[in-house]
Amino acid sequence: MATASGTFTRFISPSGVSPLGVSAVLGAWMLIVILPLLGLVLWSFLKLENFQLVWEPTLQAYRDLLSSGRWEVTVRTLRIAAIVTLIELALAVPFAVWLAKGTRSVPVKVITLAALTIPFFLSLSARTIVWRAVLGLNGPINSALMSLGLIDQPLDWLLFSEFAVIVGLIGPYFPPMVFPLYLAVTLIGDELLAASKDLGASPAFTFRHVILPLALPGLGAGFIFTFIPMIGDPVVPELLGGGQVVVLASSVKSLLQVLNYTVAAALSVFMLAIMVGLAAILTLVLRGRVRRQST
Amino acid sequence: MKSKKVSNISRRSVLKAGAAVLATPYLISRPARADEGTVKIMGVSTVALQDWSAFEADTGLKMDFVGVNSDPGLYVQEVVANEAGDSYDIFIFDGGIEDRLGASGHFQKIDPAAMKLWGAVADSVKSSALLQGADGTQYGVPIVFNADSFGYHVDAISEAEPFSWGMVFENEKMLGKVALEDTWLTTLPNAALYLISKGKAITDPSNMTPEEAKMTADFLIERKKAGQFRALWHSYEESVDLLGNREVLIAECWEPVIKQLQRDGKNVRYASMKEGYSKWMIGAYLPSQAKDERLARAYKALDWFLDGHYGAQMAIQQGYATANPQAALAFAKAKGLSEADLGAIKLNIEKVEQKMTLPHYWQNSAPQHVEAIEAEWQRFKQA
Amino acid sequence: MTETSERPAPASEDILAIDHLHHRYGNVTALKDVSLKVRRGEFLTLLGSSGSGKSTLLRMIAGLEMPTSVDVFTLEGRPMAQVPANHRNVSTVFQHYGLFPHLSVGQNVEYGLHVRKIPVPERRRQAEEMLRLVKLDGMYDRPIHALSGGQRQRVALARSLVLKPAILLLDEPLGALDEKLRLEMQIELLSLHRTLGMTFIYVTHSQEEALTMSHRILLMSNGEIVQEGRPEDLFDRPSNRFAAEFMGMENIFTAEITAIDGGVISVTVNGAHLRGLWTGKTQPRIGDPIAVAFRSEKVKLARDKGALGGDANRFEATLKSRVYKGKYLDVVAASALGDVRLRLWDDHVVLSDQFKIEWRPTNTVVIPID
Repeated sequence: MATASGTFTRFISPSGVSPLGVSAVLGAWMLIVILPLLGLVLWSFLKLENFQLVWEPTLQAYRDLLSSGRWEVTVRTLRIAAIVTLIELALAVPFAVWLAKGTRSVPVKVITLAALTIPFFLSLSARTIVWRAVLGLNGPINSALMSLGLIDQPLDWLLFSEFAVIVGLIGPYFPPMVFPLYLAVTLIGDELLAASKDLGASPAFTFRHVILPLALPGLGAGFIFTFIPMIGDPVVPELLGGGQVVVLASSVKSLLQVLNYTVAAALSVFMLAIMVGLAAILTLVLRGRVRRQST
Repeated sequence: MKSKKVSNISRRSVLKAGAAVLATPYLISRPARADEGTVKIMGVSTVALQDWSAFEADTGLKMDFVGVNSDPGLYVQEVVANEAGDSYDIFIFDGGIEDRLGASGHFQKIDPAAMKLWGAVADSVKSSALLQGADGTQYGVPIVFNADSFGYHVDAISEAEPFSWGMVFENEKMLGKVALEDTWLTTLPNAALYLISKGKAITDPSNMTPEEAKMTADFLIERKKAGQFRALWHSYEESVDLLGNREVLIAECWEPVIKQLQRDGKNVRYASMKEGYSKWMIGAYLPSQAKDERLARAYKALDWFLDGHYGAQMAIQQGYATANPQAALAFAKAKGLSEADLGAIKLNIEKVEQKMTLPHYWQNSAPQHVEAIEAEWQRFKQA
Repeated sequence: MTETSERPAPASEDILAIDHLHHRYGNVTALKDVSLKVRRGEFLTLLGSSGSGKSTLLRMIAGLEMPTSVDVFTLEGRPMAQVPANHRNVSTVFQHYGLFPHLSVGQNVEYGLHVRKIPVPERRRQAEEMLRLVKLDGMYDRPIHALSGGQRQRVALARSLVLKPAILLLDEPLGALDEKLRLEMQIELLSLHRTLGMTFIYVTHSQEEALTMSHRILLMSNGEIVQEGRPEDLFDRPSNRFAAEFMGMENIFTAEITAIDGGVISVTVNGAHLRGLWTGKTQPRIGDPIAVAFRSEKVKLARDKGALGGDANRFEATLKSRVYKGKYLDVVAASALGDVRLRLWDDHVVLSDQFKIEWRPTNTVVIPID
């Protein structure tokens, strides 16, 4: 052991990171992430005939993507994920600030955090299916609206619609947005908030100029834990979309069931391209902002 | 084709192509065991018996049944990519798969002479397209089958049966009151049956050309835009809920759904049809790797499936039809089963005979143009 | 004593007046019947140990907490009791500075100006001027994390001062600094106070800081103001046992009054007689529970008849322990009173086992025990 650790320390570079470790991580990353990705891209430019891969480059898969309207799945999936993420943000930010700074009562915090966790002991399907009863034609919402005389026909867009999918996604993706935000806000010292108030700032000013910038890492984590998994989640859209709100995961699953690997690959590559594009735009915008702020 | 460089998506070539992610192994196949007393079956869970002791007593073989989901993609994955034929003696899959896996050499031709009861199976059953390859080669032995239509609330429809599929697809009174099954496998051919009755040219609803599929999808999109369809369901429970809560009044569904709702006291019926039914069959297929003693064992097991015990059990437990219903009835009588059980078997015989006389199609999970058909179905869902 | 006595006395106008302030957290009383007046330009120190209520009182003045009840609470003559911090013309330098880690030095200093919607160039001008004042010229663009503790302290000061508050509140601002830096900053704070002529209210647990810097000290204990006065008053004439202990009187004995002669009180401790000056707030009566207290450095070794004259308190003593501290010698001696502590500054002292000790009655306080 002594010799092993001795050898190891000798390899540590001035930056304190072992080059051996770096190359190992890089190698693993290549193997686990990059290689399959390249495979995906490769497959998207091939086609299948009778379960047999035809080794001739073709754009057939991408043409199929357009002609079946499948590209819209990508757009819809991103749209739904973005809308729900924004709603989560709007709900979670004040909630997390309240929980972290607004209440001093430990029992309130514990009970609230537990209440956010407990639903996860039920399966997502079981939690989601409840919305069917609530939003259905004969559900309580329609019944209430009808008995109040606000409508004379039940609203059919409440269920089996993009609206229903969005409503259904809010619940399950609230905790993954709240938790990192809550942690980030908790880490903001009370003294900072007192200082801001002391210097004359209104709560809104403090929120905008102290809480928000300091909670940014939590916001980023919340975004990643919400937006990204939502893109891959078929459960809620399948249960509440009534088969008419098709999202990426369902579309890929359907393709894999008929072994249409090339179009599945093309669809994935298309989604990846959009994500990379969005990330690039975001980076540019942020960099521009930073530059403007520093001048 | 000859000039093209092609490769099979077997496990090895997939690894070579560097896209192993796409071929996620479901069941890792083990090397063939020289266990001579056991027959190893990979099959759809619904055809399994809870208790195989009768099989073991009758044949002297042990049963090793590995249940899988009803999923054609999975079958191909297992048989082609994972080479499950190395270790499994029999596959029991949704029929239709043999069109491809037979032609590709993964399944072997059935030898009728190897089974004592083959002759007792009705020709209309054993000649099902779901058991034969495109060239008519017999690859499959019938295990269970049924003819599906739709269920409805009796108070919602004043007309008398038999119905047209138009009741589901093109019916102003039912706007927004219809649920379809979320699969091209049944819904596209059912719509095609209706279009045929309207004089459209579709040769085989279960094996449509891309053009026929497009025409059918266009029709469905038009009806979707008109607001005909409330929802598409994905699971048994969902279809039970949709009909049970009156979220819809008509639903394309499986017969057990209606049985359950009737038991719950709902006034629903399973429709009998004018144009035909969505017939499905689960067949047994033999991997090309099975030879000699292994093959003899497989045939011995298949013969048992064609006999009375299995048929009686299926009719009583699931309400499914089997290949040799008379043997099932004889078995039930010989065993002195209850009147109710006998009734279930007799009703099944009648029902199947009545439905078999109608024009129909066999559900085909592997139509020739499956990619195009799946894409058309997605286009409908997108619309 | 030191610089304080030479500092110009502040104007007589009251900038802050608080009468009968009470504050409770649930069932716990945090502040009990606190009344105080602060004159414009004054350097007032709230002195006390942790939990004495001094920081709570400061937060009340800042508006960061609202009192449970108060009769009068005026700042520059205007009622303030229910006005929140962001609408009060006071500013706080926090114990841990409360600097915004995501903003630069300059942005921190400008924060309050930004709140007040001062235009950017004007903000920057004022911030740089203030940074010059606290000797941080050219640090405008530095990130906070690149600063030392002392520099952070100065940024916090600049951030508050730039707003020209009526009162600057300082909550143990030197607590996190090391000894040398603390002394430097004390001087600097005093010079800032003089330059700006601003009113400072300073919270500390260090009697040394309080004595060095303040015009006036409020000594607090258990949510009450125990004694109030100039540094010399508190140091030399603590008015009760707590104040005597807190101000560092090492020799405190429970005593009984035997005679009252004007301000001079004769008492007995364990049967031994000695005299001292009464410093309690109310006049003493024979039989009251009292204590006698005196500083260790006021106790001398008495050669023969003694150097302090005939009226000195003088006792036979036996050496119990001695600790050499470099500049001085700490001695504990047993006497008729009990154990007496001496601090001897004469480095040539030779102690035998038996000796006499003496100290003046004017260096002896007689105080009530509460």
